[in-house]
Amino acid sequence: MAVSSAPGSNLPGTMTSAAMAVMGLLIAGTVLSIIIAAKAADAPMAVHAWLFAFAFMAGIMALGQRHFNVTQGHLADDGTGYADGVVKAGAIATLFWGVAGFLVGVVIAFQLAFPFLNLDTAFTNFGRLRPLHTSAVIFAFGGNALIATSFYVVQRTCRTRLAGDIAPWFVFWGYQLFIVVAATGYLMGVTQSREYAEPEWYADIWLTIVWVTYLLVFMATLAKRKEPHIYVANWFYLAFIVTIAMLHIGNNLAIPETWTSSKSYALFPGVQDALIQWWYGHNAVGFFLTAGFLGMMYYFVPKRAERPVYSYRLSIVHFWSLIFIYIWAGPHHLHFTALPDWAQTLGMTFSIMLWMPSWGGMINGLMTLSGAWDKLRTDPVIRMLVVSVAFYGMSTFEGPVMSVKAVNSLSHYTDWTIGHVHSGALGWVGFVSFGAVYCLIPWLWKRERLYSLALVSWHFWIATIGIVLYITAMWVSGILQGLMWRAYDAQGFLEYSFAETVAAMHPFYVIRALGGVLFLAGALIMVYNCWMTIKGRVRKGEPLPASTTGTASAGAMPQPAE
Amino acid sequence: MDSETTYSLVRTWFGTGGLILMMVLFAAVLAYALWPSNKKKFDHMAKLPLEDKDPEDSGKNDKEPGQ
Amino acid sequence: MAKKFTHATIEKNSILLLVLTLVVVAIGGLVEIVPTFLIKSTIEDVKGVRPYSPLEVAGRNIYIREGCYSCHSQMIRSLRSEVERYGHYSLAAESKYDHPFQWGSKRTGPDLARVGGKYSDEWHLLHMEDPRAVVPESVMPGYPFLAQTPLDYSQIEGGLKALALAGVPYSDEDIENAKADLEAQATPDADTDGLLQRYPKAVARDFDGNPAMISEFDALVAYMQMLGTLVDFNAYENADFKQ
Repeated sequence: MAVSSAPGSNLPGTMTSAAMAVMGLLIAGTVLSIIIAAKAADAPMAVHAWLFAFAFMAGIMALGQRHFNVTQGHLADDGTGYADGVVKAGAIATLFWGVAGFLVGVVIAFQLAFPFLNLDTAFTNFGRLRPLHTSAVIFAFGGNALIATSFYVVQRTCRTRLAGDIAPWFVFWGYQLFIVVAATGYLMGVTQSREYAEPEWYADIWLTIVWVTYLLVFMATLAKRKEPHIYVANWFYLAFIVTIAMLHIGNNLAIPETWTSSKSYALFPGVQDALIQWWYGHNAVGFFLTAGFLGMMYYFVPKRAERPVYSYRLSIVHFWSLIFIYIWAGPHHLHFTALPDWAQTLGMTFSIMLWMPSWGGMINGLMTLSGAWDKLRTDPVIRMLVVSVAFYGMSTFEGPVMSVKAVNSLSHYTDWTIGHVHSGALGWVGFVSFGAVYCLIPWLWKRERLYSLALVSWHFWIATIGIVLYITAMWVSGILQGLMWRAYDAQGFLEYSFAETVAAMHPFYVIRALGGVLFLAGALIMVYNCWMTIKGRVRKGEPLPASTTGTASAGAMPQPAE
Repeated sequence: MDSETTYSLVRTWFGTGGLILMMVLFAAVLAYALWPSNKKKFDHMAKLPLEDKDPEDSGKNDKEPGQ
Repeated sequence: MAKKFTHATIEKNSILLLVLTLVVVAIGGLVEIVPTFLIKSTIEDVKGVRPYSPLEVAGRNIYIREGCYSCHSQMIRSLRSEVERYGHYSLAAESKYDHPFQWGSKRTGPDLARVGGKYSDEWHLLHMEDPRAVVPESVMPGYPFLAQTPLDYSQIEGGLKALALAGVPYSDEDIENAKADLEAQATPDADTDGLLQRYPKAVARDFDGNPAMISEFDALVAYMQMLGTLVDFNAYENADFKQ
């Protein structure tokens, strides 16, 4: 409790035994990293081993400093007894990685429209930047949003301080280290080629350590809660954490060339490997991008709307049916492939069933606003949250449709899939995270309100137009290309060469890239808005909307001891 | 028993088992969610995020202990 | 009543909630994944499929390194238009030595499952150098550095060993000869008897036309030129599908 504790409770020179143990592990980690760096079989491994070594040394110094120099910095915990420093750090990391991930997305979107932008070097080609984009957005942006909000929500709904002192910070910084190792690895060509699980074996081991710590922190906090029951948002967070642990370990089983090599070979071959990868890939969507963010929805939508969730009963049914059904749906990524037919059919059936719990959840989120629909007009943050739920409904309708074999035969391998993913990622995951962060920033930094609600509105509209451009362009290009691939001429020959279908995509790739630019612009506005809020500024001449003035103390600023 | 038989046996049993388990689970969840005496608890739970209380274990280390 | 009691317990006990969640999410995966490991006929034996030669393994690693799978699938679906465009639909057996699989999920570029032999080495060299010089509509990045970079195959034995551990039938002899085989396959006029005996149908030649160096291009194109060429589909069709 070094940061939050009163001066004097930590005598200089004394360390808790936990801190000593962590220090010991960090020293051991440093030594191991340096040995691997010295013996590295390839350059990327050497770079990464040094990166680990420096990170561990930084950890050692931070631990030391924490105990000898108790300061109250920007990220210091407040006096409410909640451990919010790590949540603040997570909120900032969410914004940072969000902008980084969107930016890379815009770059690769333009590369597809104007291929000279690949620059034809090893480090800048689409093949290496694409996982950089997907990982930055899913794991860096989304992951930090999930870690930050889960730490916030579990404390509030359990009315207890986060368990552990160093552990939550280890989770935060360990996760950032994983992101940096993964990202630099992609640029150096270090990849397992498993979509959304590209990092190599050593990064996977590191993430396992971090993730298990995350699970332990979350479980220990639940265990010491002061509420008799566990609020449903925490169920979703817990399912997200534990299932991702299972999927991550299952999907990343691999045998490294040597223990000093950055290259590994997947343990399972061909068909089994494909099935396991899409068992992972689909459920990364189901549990990382859905269950986790549903936890966010079940806290922030009621909180911001200042009304209880529409139906708590429905949320229970939603939870169990969602987690049960989701896990089966993976094989719909492998229709008409060499995967046995029964598995494809099973995947399709469950994908269609999945529509029901998904819409149950959507209705539950939307109807929470019933009787307070005027807030959609007055509060752009709630508008963002509600529209995110609407996008969730849309993409969880589209998904089951695309899992039907007849549709899939057209949509698979085309941009339709990309559009579908982005209506979920930009619309649902992006907006619900933006909404949650817009809520969190004033709450965490004890500001009466955001710097500017007008800017939130600008963000909302610019980003929404960006999403609409993006997904409509991808619908058209996807369906067009799918149809062109299967078009026959009068003589019964395939009508178009592949190259012709690529040329037909060009205008849509340009529109898509512009949509991405708008989405990025919205995120930059958000960063500015949040930055000014943290600085304690309020935009001049901006009238306080009636609903936020009246209820500011309850809605926008919940914790202070008033 | 050749591998083909093992395979179809395992497939059938896993499939049937999964189906039964799913139905039992769903019935149990529904029963729990709709059980009348649980309503009070759920109403309390639903309001939980709206209450802004300080943590009960904040106490000793904080400069401004929860009131 | 007993159920209600149990459920209240679950909801109050975080460990129980954790365990139950884990059980619920484990079922689907087990039901779908376990049977595919139990059956031999998931991956029927098809004549001709063999493990990759060391040079092909190295080339495959470059294929993976550059993220080719982001835009190219290696999985021809059993649809008429695909079979007519790319060739016989992909058999499970054709990827049985693939660690990891490279089926892909997106076709920004065409499927490559049977690209072997479709284009000459010279075409590939030009295409990698500047894709739009050969295919004006292409949006593929250029990879001019591949032909200029010497292949690092210092770890190839480790690679074959790891693959053998994962179940690919590489013998000790194969692993011992990994480096020699790799060099033989990329060097013109080398003695390839051992190589061809170990890896039938392996294409041995100087792929990049630069005998001074075994380049990354040599490895990548050695891999690409064998994709989909191992199974003789005339024989396969006659034997298996007398329709």
